[in-house]
Amino acid sequence: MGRGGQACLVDALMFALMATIACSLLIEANPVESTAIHDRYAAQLTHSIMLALQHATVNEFGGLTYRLNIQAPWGSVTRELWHKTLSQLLVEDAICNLRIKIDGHELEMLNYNQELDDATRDLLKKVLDKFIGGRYGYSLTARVVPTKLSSSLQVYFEVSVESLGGEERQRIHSETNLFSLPLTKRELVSCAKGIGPIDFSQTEPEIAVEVTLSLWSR
Amino acid sequence: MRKRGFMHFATVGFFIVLIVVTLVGHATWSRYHRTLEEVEKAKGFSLLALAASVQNDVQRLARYAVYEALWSVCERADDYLDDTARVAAIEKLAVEYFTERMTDLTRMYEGHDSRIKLEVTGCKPSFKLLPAENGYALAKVEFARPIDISVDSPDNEMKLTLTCNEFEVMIDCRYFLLQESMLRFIEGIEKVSSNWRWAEYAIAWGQALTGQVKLDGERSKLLFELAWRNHELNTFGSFDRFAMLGSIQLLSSSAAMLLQMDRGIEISITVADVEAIMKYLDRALDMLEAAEVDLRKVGLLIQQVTVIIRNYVYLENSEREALLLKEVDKKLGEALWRLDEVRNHVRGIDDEFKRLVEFVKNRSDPISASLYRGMTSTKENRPPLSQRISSCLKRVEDKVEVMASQIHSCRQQLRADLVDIEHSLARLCSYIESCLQGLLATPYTAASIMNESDEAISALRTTLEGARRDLEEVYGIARNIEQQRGTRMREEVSLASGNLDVQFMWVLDGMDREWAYEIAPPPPVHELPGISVFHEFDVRHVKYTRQDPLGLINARAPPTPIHLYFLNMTLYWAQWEVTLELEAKPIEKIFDFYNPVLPRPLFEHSKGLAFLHKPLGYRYEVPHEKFSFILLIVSPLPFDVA
Repeated sequence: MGRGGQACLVDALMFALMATIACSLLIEANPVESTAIHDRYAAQLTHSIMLALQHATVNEFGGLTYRLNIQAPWGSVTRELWHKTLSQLLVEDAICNLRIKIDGHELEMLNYNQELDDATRDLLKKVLDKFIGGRYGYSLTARVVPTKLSSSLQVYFEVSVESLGGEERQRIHSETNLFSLPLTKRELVSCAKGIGPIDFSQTEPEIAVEVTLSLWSR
Repeated sequence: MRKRGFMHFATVGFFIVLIVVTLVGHATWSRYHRTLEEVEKAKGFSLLALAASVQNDVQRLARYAVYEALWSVCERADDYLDDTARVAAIEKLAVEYFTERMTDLTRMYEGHDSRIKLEVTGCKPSFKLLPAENGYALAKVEFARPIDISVDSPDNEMKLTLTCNEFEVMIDCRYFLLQESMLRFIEGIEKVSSNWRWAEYAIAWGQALTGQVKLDGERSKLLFELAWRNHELNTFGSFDRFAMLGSIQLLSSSAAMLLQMDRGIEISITVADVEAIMKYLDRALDMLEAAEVDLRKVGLLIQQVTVIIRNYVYLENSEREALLLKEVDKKLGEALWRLDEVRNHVRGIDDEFKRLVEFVKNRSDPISASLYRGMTSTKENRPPLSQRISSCLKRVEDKVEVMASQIHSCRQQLRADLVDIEHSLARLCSYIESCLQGLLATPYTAASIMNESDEAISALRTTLEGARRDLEEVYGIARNIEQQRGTRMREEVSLASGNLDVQFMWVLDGMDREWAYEIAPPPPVHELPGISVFHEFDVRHVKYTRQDPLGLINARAPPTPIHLYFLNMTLYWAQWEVTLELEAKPIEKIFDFYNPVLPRPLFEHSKGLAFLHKPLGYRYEVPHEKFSFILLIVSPLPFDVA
């Protein structure tokens, strides 16, 4: 091979190298980011579900019926709720099933509304299954963070519904909304006076129900 | 290789790499910007969702404010002058509750999420409670200045402000249905009185027929309770089935008694029946009058004939003979026709009276039965009315027959023997006059009807007019009874008492029923409109004051007798003013059975953190503490008063 041939070979090799570099740059330069698409979709779905929870009424999902855990053979302890929104249902579930701790010990309640709690859970599961349709795993938690009404008296509440799927899951998006309780703090404190001494200053801030919806990969 | 116009491969490759680097750089730059844009979008959507959530929270707050206002106002619904005032009070209270809670809501967001700011200063709300379908309500909330809901993004780079001018929230309890139903109940409260009155009448009259009227305070209380329930059932489609727990057995037996009385049997003769009987008598009296007129006309005709014949005999005017005889014949013919008419009237009277007796016979009430007996059977050696009337009619008919035959023979003689005609006519005239004097003689003496005297028409008139006067007395009694007794209680009374469910009563014994109903409202009797009913009242006393003449002397005296001579019967009259006084204003409360949706404390007035869904109750203190009526018993049989 003469000098001309060698130069030609080197030139071709250089060209091949340059072409390879160009191709690899092109391959890496994907204008679309697939994970971002999924994340955005999940975020929008979460927003939409949270809005739906606030606007959709119970009767759109067949209504909600439960019985009070009270022996009252003279009358009806069945409660049928039709016109409440799902968020209203959640806050009313919270107020009707508030848990109480005195000096750190859980107060044994009569749980008049246990069935309301169960029925709310079932209904929310049905609603979320319908909205999410198996595309993601989900968990919805409504809770009243433990709040002190006095040095010894604390109230809290938590209800959660979830369908998380397999072991290898990853949280895609989560959103929390605050809902006010049907009762003001003053009213709640006034009701709690019968249970124990109340230190009004300890009740700050105003009690709220935090509703968190998280979507998880399947 | 060195050719003009061509480059080295490496140079070409270098240029390719340069182009690709430029492309990739541009793509990366674009992607970066697109991502930024998407993030902004997502942030915006997230903020919008958050703001919408806060707005929704405000609306929920408005709903709870209306719930609270409804509860407060409906607990004392009678405090308000009318529906408009009540709705205005609800709206005013809702504004107060809402304003108070809005302040708390602002603080809640400040405490939990600093990104959210609620600007509520100066946005004085106004609530309008409007009726929606099926008695539900709709609250329209307007703000003098809009509420500003500001939400910041977590990085404080984006801020979204949502203004809220007005909104509507559906109130899922049937306030307007409850209000309208209670209004009907209060406006028709007099029906309680009339139902109770009817029940008392039914029982007292039943007792009068069995020989002893015993008025009993306890029974009156129960009948009053029944009447109250009946009114509830007719208004609300349900009644308070667990009221008066201790007396349930007594109530059932009273109800059964009522039921027996209420099987289409009239306790007293009705005004309509008495009017019908009087019409028969009126027609008979009209015919009697017509018969009298005809008889008087017959007398007049005979007198005229006598005068004509006398003139004919003395004047011996042969020219006018034919004319005069024709005139006489005509007048005698007319007299015969008149007597025929009298016969017809007499038979008509007989028919009317028979129809009257038949009519009375077919009535089912005891006074009509007694009237029938009085008219058809002998009492104290006095012949019955029907016999007296038929006897009078027969005598009149016999007399008329004789008179007709006399006139007829005289008419025959007129053609055959003109010589004796004057004497014959004079005899006829005198006979007819004596007959008429006898038939139409006045005044009538009671004895003549018993004897076979001539005064038959007069006797008949006196008898019929006497019977009519007696009937006028009965009419007055029947009208009083109907006015006092009122209309018959509807069939639901039996339903109201028959469906009493006693098996759970012991559970409620000693419990605050009103509270118990709030927790577990009893299912309504009728599915629609779906209202549960509670009532509470205590009867202080029931007072019976005698008002008939003998009763005024002594409350336990036997009833005052009323003798009806011509109807051959005696009625026994006792009258009381019955007054029932309550301890306090009765409480009527109705619950929206199908919508137990208000989150309320388990115990409204005591403390505790137990809450549950309760139905909206509408509580009304009925402004009636005293109920009274006149109990009037008139029986054909004597009875004792205990």
